[in-house]
Amino acid sequence: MIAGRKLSLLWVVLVLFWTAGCAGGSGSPASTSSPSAGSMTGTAAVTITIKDFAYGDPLSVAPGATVAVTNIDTATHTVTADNGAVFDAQVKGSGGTATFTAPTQPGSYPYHCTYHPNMHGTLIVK
Amino acid sequence: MSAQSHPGRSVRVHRTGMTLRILTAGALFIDAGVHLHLAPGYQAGNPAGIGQGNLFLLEAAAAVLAGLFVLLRGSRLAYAVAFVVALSAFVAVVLYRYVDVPAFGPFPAMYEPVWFFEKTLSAVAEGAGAVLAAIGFARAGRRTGRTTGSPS
Repeated sequence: MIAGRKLSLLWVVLVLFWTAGCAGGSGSPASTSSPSAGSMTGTAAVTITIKDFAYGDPLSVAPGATVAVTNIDTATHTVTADNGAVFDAQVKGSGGTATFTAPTQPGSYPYHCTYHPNMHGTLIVK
Repeated sequence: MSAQSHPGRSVRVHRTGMTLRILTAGALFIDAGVHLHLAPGYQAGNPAGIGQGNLFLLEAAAAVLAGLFVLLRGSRLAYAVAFVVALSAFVAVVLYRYVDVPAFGPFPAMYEPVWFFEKTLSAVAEGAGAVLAAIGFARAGRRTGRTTGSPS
């Protein structure tokens, strides 16, 4: 009987741990706020700033625009298009910078970090 | 009151012990799996010092060995090893989630102020593994005490 009660207690502890963990961290930390945020037209460079393992707000850029990336984190990150090799930039940590050319076809281009599976962002070309 | 006089109780105690061993080992194997899965990317992204990915591989190896030890032996020592491995991993993931610890010795800076599915899964597994190992350690100690203390 005592062993049975202990087993039940064990399950309760497990479930509590599971619930607490999931509540604290499920889902992507990358921001997915309004697509209009950070909008810029023409071919002038816009900057994606990577901080705390997140890309920040989605950027809108003109087709073929130059996009700059600044990485404030210590770790190296990439800005890699989900859909094939449309764009792919590696940015070293501690203030490293890189640039890439936005696609010429208008549309929404989700991207990610090759090294860190939780990092996702979106580049909007219009 | 020996186990022989209560065979039903003995079976229940044995089943609980086996369940505990399987759950503890399972938690450690989940932890190991997540670290193995994330290691290549984290090594490429943070190769300073010994490299974060290599640390993940070391953690995975320790977790697998500790899990096998508990699964096969279920001794007090096995649970103690499992507890140390699981708790140290749990403390590390929580520490680097909330505190920007600078690089020291062979350890790179690994501050990562986010939770995501894999990370949460491993943290939960590590925490659960530590709790289960502590329970197993206490049970194994009581069993040992009873065995050595009982009249022959």
